Amino acid sequence: MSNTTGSPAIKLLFFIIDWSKSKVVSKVFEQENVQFYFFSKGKGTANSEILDLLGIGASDKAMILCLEQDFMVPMLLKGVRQKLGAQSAGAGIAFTVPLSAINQPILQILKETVHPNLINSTDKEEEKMSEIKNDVIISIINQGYSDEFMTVAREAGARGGTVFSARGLTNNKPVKFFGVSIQDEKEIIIILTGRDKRTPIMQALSKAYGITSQADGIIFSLPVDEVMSLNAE
Amino acid sequence: MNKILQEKIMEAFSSVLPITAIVLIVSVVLVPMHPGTILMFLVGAVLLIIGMGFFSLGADMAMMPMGEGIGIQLTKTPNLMLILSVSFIMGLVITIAEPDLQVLATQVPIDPGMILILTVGVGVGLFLVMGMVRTLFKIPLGILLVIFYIITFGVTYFAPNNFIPVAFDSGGVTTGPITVPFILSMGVGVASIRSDKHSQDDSFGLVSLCSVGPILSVLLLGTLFRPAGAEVAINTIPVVETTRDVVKDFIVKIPHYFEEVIMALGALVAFFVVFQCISRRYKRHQIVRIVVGFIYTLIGLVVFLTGVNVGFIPVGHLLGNDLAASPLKWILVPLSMIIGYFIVAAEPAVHVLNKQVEEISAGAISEKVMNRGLSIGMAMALAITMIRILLGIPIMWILIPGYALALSLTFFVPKIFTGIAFDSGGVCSGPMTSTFLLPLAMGVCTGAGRDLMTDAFGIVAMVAMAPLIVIQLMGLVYGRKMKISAKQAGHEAINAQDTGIIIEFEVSYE
Repeated sequence: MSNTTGSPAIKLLFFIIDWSKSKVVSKVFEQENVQFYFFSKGKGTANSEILDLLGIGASDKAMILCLEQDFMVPMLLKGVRQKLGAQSAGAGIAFTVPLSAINQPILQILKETVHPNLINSTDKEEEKMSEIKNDVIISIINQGYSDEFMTVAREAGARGGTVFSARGLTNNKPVKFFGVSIQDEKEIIIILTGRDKRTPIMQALSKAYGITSQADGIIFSLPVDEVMSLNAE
Repeated sequence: MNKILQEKIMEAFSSVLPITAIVLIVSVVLVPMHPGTILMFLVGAVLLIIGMGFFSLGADMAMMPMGEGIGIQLTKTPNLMLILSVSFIMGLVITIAEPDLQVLATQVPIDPGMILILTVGVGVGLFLVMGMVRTLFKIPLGILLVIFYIITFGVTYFAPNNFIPVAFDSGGVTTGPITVPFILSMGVGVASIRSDKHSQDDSFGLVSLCSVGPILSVLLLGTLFRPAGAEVAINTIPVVETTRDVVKDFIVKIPHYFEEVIMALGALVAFFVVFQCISRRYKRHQIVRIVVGFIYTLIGLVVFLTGVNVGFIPVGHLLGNDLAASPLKWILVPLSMIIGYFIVAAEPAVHVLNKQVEEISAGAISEKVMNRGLSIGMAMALAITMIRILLGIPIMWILIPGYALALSLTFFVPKIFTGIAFDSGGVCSGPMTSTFLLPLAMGVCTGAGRDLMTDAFGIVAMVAMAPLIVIQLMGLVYGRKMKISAKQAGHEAINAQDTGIIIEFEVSYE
């Protein structure tokens, strides 16, 4: 990854982790003096329909978005893995997405932030870069379709996903009702997948739940630099 | 093992185990009890764990999505009359169906009992309407609460003295394990599709208004009807000899609670069917899940109520009675504090509230913090109640300054905490309070030779009042912390002229 201005490379780091363990991540972030991170609560998707109907399929997940310089990523991961320790099995996943632009003040802060534990990690641990390229498919659909949506995605080869509730904003002004603006309810579904499976999944999804369907889906993918599991080795 | 199942079992265990252990220890050290009674208690505790697990799973799957859905869908219909009439009918129906209210009706001597139930139902309905109006017209919750509590305290001036504790108790009692998750989620739903900056603050507060309704309506009834004197059924302690007797005692009670819960849930299901037919909100998959959730809730509540009613009432009564009659009676104060601290977790609706709070605040107010706040509140409430009963202090001496403090705090704490605090008042006083703490207080009353009507009742009112103060104090600290951290962030102020500059990166996608 090169950049024109000689500024440090900034990554958008995604953590998708069990809600009950999300405290671990925020603790590590605090320790490392990470400046920009945001929590959102979502739901994991179940592996089987029966388990889901019985209510023991999907667990709560946290998505933590974090802006940080690229050399910080391995450190943060190491910290989280260490803190999670034995509970790490299947706790979650992390991946990074490159940025195309950022505004100057944020970059300034990122550059100037002192990371207290940086010195300790001079023995640069080589993160094993996965050979397989990955993508993250992001879909925005109308509220209520996520269950069926995930069934289609799974049939097309997706391993799992995370669902977040969201509000839709369109070009039209929101409907005002007694001074309360009412917006559409949407669901955002994030699916991480290998690049080879990306196209078939997206095709299947747009066929079933694309913009012409009732789900009104907008489906796109972002390139992922690196995927890291949170399992302690 | 399945992650969710494991979580729910752990949650249920850790909620019930501490209180069970405390009672066991007390029964050995302070109040020796008949082994049969203890066995009943232990079976009750096991049922509590099972019931709690099912209930909280069911609430997650059925009650919460449904309440939220109705809240959202209602706000979307641009028809004020429809919103208000649906809210009114819903409040009325749910309240009439609430099992706890039926019990209250048998305790309050107004003939026929149906008048009481209907009045309380209408009270809750009207206040639910108030709650919706408040959210739509953005009236601050604090002001409404101040107005309504002033009216309420004004009415107490005219109400017969022995009636006041029951009236305040009914406020806590009517917001039971079925009403709370439902109304709580409805409030969250209504707030969730708004985009203004107060929507988060307004997520809570519906339950709080709904618990003022019953207090006011029971007070008015008491003032108008002037009942001769309320009578209280004193629980007889069953004598069991064999293990078979114990099991039999539980089994004969199951149909009774099954009927109660079916009544209450039936009302909700009927509402759900009508709602779904009109709005078509849920897809097939979700409907099946909600139905399964209802079945879980049914199983959970029946098991829970059977366990707590059969197993816990006698022990609570015995404990209070024996301790109050003994020379060690002042030990009741610290002991009840410990019991209070741990019993909050065993209240089923508490988990629902804590979860919602954590979710709305995106983790900023965690379940743990909420739990600790509620525990401290409950411990204080019980300590005050015990002192009150032992010394015979009139309840208004505590209620008036307590509510005055709680209401004046609303002007200083972050808005969301006012909503959470006043909601948690209704949430804390659930079935655990009415089946263990109330008998305990009654036991203390008989043991110490006090009047049941004026002294034992009122414990629910205390339990419902203490969280208002504690949670708001918590909010005060939280609000101050937020201010400090905002200040610190301000120090890193950057050159404002740079804010418009965008740095581009060159990205290669393949």
